[in-house]
Amino acid sequence: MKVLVVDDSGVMRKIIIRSLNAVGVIDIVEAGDGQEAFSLFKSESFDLVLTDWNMPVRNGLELVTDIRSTGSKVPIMMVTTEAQKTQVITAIQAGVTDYLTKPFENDTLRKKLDKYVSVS
Amino acid sequence: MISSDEIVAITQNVMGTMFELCPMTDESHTELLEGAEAFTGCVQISGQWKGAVVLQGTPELAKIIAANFFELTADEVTEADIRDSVAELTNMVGGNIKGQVPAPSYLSIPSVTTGSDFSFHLAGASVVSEVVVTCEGQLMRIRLCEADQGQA
Repeated sequence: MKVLVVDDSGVMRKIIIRSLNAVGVIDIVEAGDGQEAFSLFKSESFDLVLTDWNMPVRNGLELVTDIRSTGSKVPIMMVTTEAQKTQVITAIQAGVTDYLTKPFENDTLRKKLDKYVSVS
Repeated sequence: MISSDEIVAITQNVMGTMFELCPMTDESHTELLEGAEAFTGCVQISGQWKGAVVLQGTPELAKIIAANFFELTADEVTEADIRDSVAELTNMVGGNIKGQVPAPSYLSIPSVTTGSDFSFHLAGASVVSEVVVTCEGQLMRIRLCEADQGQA
């Protein structure tokens, strides 16, 4: 399983990568913003994308729109502080598969990741 | 408007969940942050509500925050570790506070300033709420600033 982790914060990428490692995922590619992530997405094949919302250059919602515009059905999990109902709905309408608000317990993230790892 | 108690609760939730730290309210030593070397993390909110969330704390606390996360000793953390940790802490506290102000509102990318001999001023905004917490014996102040009327 190959996962693309997108966050401008190295701290958050590390938290997510730890959780991915804990569920047995080691093939991980990192990106610091939506533009870098979309470039990687177009050149490599991924089984799961985890992305922040608020990022410089190109944000997570724009990344989701970019990915869906290619026709890709890859699962995308938004990991963000954006917790308002309207924003969750906006993200889902853009094509987000799953949503996790910060702060979160590591176990919560791992349980969500388990769902994708077990079907890959 | 969001209360001081809510700001403390949000800060405790973020620091407890993500950084395994337990900040407690402490209004007795606020003067220690004045003019001292400190970190400043700031994230701005725009939209229906306009303002900013500003975190200021001792450099020692910044090291503890980074060290806790990266599982290092305070002496081992780098400036980059500190900036990244403080930025994410600011982003999460600010993001959760943003969830309490009128929607739709939007969060900026966090900024972090470290070092000494600088002052921080948010133009066209006033402090509407302020709390000071102690964590691992170190101080941190969280200020909620609201744009003055007429500010874009």
